[in-house]
Amino acid sequence: MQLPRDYSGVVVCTPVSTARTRTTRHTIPWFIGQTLAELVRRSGLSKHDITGLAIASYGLAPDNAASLAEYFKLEPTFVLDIPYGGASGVLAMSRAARAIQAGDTEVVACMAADIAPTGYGIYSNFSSATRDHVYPYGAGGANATFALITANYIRTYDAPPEAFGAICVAQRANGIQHALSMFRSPLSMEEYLSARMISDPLRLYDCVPRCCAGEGFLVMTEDRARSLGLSFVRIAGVVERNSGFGDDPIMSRVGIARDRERLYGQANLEPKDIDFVQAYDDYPVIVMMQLEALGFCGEGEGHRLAREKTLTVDGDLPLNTSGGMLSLGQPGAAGGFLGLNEAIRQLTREGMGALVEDASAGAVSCYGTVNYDRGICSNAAILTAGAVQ
Amino acid sequence: MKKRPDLPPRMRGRPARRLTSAAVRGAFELPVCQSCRNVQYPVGEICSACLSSELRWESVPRTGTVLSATVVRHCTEAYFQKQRPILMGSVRLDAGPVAIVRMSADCAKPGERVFISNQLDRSGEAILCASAKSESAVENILRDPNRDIAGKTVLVTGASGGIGRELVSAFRAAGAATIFAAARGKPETASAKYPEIVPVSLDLTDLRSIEAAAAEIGPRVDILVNNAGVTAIAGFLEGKDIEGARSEMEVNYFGTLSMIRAFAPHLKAKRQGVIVNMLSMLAHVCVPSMGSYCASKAAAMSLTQGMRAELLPWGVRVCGVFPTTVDTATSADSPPPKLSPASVAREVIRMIRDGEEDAYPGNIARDLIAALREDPKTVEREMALALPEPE
Repeated sequence: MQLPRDYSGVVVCTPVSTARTRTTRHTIPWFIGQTLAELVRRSGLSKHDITGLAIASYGLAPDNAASLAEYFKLEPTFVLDIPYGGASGVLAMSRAARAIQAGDTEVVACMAADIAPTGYGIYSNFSSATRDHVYPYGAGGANATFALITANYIRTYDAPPEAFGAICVAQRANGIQHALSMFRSPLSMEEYLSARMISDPLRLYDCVPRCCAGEGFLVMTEDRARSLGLSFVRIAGVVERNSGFGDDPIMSRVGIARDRERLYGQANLEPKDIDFVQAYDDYPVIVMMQLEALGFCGEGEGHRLAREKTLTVDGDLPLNTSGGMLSLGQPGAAGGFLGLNEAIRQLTREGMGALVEDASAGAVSCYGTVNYDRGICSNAAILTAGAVQ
Repeated sequence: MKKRPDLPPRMRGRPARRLTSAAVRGAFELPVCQSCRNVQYPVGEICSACLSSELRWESVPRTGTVLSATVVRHCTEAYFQKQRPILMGSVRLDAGPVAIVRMSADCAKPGERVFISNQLDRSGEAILCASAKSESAVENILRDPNRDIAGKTVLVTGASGGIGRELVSAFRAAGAATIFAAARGKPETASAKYPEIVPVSLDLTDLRSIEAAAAEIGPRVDILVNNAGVTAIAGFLEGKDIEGARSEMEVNYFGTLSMIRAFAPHLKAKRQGVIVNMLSMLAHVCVPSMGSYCASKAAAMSLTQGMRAELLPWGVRVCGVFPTTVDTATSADSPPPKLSPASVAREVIRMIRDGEEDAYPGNIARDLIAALREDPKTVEREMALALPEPE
C-alpha cells in the first residue's frame, strides 16, 4: 500500500474558540477578526508573522480569504477558501501543512466562522442539486435529508432509538463540563426519547442548535512552535475521500471507510491505540458511520458500539469530549473545526472541559457538504501528542 | 426573484427548469446520455458516467422503488410550514438514478413499488411525486386547491357554441357547483334542466358588458374559461378591408384580455383560481388561408404567457388549450379529421385536475407540437402548402 508522505516537521497548535451566541448583529469578519487576534495573542506572534490564511465559512461570500487579508492588513503568501463545512477542519490543517512542508508559507492561520442567520437560510441555495431537487420538496433542510439516511440505517441494521440516544446523552454529559456549552443540565434517555419529532425518525435532540462563533488554530513548523514555547500536536496521518461510495443508492457509510488502512498505516497505530474520537456530529447516524469507518466496529455495528461502550470523557471510548456540536452548537462551517480543536486541547492538556486521562493519540473525523442526498466530503486525521508546555 | 411566503420556492437552475417544461404537459422526462444511455438526476448537462456532453431529454419509465421516507415536521419556508406534516422520500427510479420525491401516504414504506408523476407546484415549478396508485390518476399530492373542480363556480364564455356547450356540461359532470354559461344575448343551454347552470348575457366586444358581469358574479367565480372566439376564415390579402381581422382581434385577443382584467382582481383576492384560455394549434403556426385568425390566437397565446406570470404570485393558474380543427359550425367547411367538442372539453377538465398548464387535445395536436418543438420551419412550410393556388 502506497502511503502519503508524512507530515514531519509540521505541527498544529493554539486552538481558539470564541464565545457562543444564538444570534448576533455582527458580521462574520468580526468573528474571524476576534479569532485571529486571539491566535496572535496566544501564540506570541506578530500578525505579520501569519503568512497563510485558510478560511471556512458558508456566509463569508462574496468576501474571501484574500479580502480578509486586506481587511486585517496581512500579506500572506498562501490563501485558501474551504467551502466544505463539516469537512473543513482536517482539510484546512492538511492543506496548510503540505504548503508549509513545500516551503510556500510558514505560519497558516486556519479559521472558520459563521453567524446563525446565514447558517439558517443557506439551505435554499446550498448547492445546485439542493436548490433544484431537494429544497422545494418541503424545505426540511439537513434534517429531512439525514432523516432519510437515518431511517434507512435503522431499517437495514435494526438499530433502536436508544442507540442514537446513547450518543446524544453521552455528548451532553461531556458538554456540560465544557466552558462554552450551550446547555448546562444533563440529558436523560427519557428526555431524548420523548422529545418531539423534527423529521421522522429524527428527534429534537438528534439535531444541533445553531450558533454564531469563530474557531481557529495555527499550523507551523515544529521549530517555530518550539521557539515560541507553544504546546502542539503532531499530524500522524490524514486521509480524505470525496464523493465516496457514490453508487450506494442511499448513504450507509462515509467515504473514508475505504481508507482506514491508509490512515492507521501512516500513524503506525491501530484503533485500540486511539484514546478518544472526535467525530463530526451533525447527526448521530453519521457519528456511527464514522466510528465504523475508523475501525471501532464493523459496518452497520455502530449502533451496537454506541450502547456497549461508555462514550463519556471517562469512558472506554471517549467520543466528542467537548460535547460536540450537540452541546457547543453549530456555528455554520466552523462546526467542522470543533473536533480538531478539541483534539488539540486534549493532547496539549489545555482543555476547556474535562480531559481524557493520559491521552496520547486521538482520531478526528470530519464530514460534510451536502450536495444532493448526502454529505460528500469525508476525511480523518490521527493526531498525537507533541510538546506540552 | 422576490420571495413569496404563500408560494413554494421558485428558484431553479436552467437545466432543472427543463423538468418544469415537461411537467407543464404532464410528461416525465430526464436527460439521457446519447452515448451510453445513462440517465442523469440531479439533472445536468454532462453525462456523469462517460462525460459526454450529448444529452437529450427523453421520456423515462414512471416507476421506481422506495428507498426511505420521512415526515418533515419542521421547515424553513412559510409556505411549507402551513402544509406540514410533509411526506418526503427517496426513490430508486427504474430509469437508474435516485430521486427525492414528495409522497402520498400510501407508499411511504421502503421497498414499495411506486408510480412517479412530474407535477407542477403552486409556483408552477416541477416536483417529482410518488404514489402507489396507477399512472392514470394523477394524485394531488401537493394539495393544490386549483386542481379541484367539485364545488367550484365556473364561468364559460361562448357557451352557446359547440365547444362551449360541451364545456358547460363537462364542468357540471365534474361537480362544479355553479356554471355561468355566458354568451351574447341569453344563451340557450340546458339551464332549464339543471339549476346549477346559470345563463349570463355577455358581449366581449363591449367593455361595459364585461364590467357589469364582473361586478355581478366576479366575486363568485373560481374558474374562468375564455372560450368565446370568432374567425373570418380569410388570408391576410383576401377581402376588401381588414374588418374581419379586426373583429378576430377584438374578440379573440381584446375580449380575452378584458375578461381577465375584469375577473383577475377577484381571483387575486382569493389567492387561488384557474383561467383557461381556449387558444388553437394555430397560435403556434400560421395557416395562411385563415392568417388573421392565427395572428389573433398567437396574440392570445402571448397574453396567456404574460398573464400566467403576472397571476402566478397570486396563486392563480393560467392555462392554454391548443386544439386542432374542432367539429363545430365554424369549421363546417374545413376538411376532416376533426376533434369532437366533447373531447376538447374532457381534455380541459383533465388538464385542470392533473394540474397541468398546457393542453393539446388529440393525437394530431400532440404530433404537431412535437414537430414544432423539433423543427418549426418544416411545419410552417407544410401549412403554407395548404393555401390554394392563386386563380
